[in-house]
Amino acid sequence: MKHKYSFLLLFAFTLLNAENFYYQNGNKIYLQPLKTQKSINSDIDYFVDQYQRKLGTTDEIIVQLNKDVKIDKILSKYSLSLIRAVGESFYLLRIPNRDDIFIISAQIYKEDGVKSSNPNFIKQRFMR
Amino acid sequence: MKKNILLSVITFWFIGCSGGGGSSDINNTTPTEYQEITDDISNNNTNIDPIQKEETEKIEDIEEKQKKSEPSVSTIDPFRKYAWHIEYPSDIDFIDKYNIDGQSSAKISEAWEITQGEGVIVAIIDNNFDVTHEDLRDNIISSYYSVTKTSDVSKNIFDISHGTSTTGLIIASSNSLGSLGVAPKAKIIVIKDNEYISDIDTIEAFDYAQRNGAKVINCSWGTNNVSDGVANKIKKLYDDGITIVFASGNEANSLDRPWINDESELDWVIGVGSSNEYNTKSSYSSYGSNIDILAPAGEKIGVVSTNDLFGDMQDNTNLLNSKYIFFEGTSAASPIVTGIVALMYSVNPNITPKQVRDIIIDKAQKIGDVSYDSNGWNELYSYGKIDALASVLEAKDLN
Repeated sequence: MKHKYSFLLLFAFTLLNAENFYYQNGNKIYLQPLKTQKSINSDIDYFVDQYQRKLGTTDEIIVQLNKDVKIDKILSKYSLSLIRAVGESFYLLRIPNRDDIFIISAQIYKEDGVKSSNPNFIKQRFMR
Repeated sequence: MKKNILLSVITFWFIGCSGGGGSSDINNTTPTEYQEITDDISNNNTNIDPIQKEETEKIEDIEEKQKKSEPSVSTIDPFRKYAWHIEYPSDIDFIDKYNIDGQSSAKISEAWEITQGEGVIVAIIDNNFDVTHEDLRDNIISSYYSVTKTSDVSKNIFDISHGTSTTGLIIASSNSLGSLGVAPKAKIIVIKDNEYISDIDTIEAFDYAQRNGAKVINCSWGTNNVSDGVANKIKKLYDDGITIVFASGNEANSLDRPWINDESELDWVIGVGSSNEYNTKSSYSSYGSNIDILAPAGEKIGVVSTNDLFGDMQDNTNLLNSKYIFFEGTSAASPIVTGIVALMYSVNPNITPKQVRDIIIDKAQKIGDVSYDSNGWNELYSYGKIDALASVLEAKDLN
């Protein structure tokens, strides 16, 4: 009974937030906007996942490419600007409209030569 | 002649008493070769034979080595007497007050007879650092704030100084001041991050550590929700020969719950829980199938380390003074493992992160009144408590 209830809850969560998802280990993680947080910092949009873990997003995406793959093609295809490269394979990119952050990062994830593509999440780091 | 006889009697009496005198706990828990040999000779002092002569020569040899190592690891850092994670403490009142178990240390002082971390660069990512601290400044070689991209890693005035305490546990100098780090001859890069941090700043923090030559990176924090990008960056460092150490957390919960996807659980990270002064698992220490090892960090009393307070304003019963603190939690356990990894790299710079992890697990002390499975693993205790001496010796043997 408990499992059935959890499944229904997950299904409803997914249905309500069909476009707000990102990939983690190849799995889709759905997010729900946390509207009350938006006014605190207008540069950051806040979301929670099905476990109520809070994440912030901006207009930035982090893309990791496989070795010897160039970022130029992705920049032009999605009209993105390169903010900076980090190390040999990570790129911080800016999208024109931050409302599209999940759609574009998920589309880039499906491109050949892309190892990971996520919004540049802002998370709480817990001291231990 | 009378004088000689009297001297001989006094000498035999003195030697005869030396093995059983003092606190039996202390003598039983000082398992160095020196102590064993001294005890043996004390019990057989009437027969001088070739074997005893050989043993006497061994003592002289060890004494000579100890003399040579004295300038490197001093015994006069005043708070060493409380450092139960390093060795059995020399302060009897402290032992009695906190009921310190004779086996609760990670056998670090014994590993110092082989190395103190010379030649190894460690990095630490944490909230802020006092780079001018009397016990840290000599071993800090670089500082970086991954958010501002500057070298200012200091704290805001009323912030807690978590990073100063974790750093001290790794590299606090042997300088007759305060405490001692696990690898007091290693050097460290300190990297400041924020409590609310973007993934790109975290990735850049790791990138900075790698570019500046770190062999092991300490992370006494976690998000419970690691992104693919950060996980992949940590994997890249692992593949490039850098060992990453993460604390498991202080919620006393299993990390195997579905909503926990923590950095400490990554396969290419050493996940660290905490053991206590009673030589069991700390009650608060989080655990799980991907946590690898425990290290001493306390239950009622933490492990002595550096601190950075605004005067003595902070109300904290664990304070020794404004510069030193008894620091507990898996945040304290993780740097102890990091320091031991630095000792291992010091004797063998060529070991891989996989070898480091395998050695630490293989040489772990099986503590607690619990059973370990055929792989040597227990759900709460992981593979047991880290053993610095055995790990360093094994790393050295792989040379």
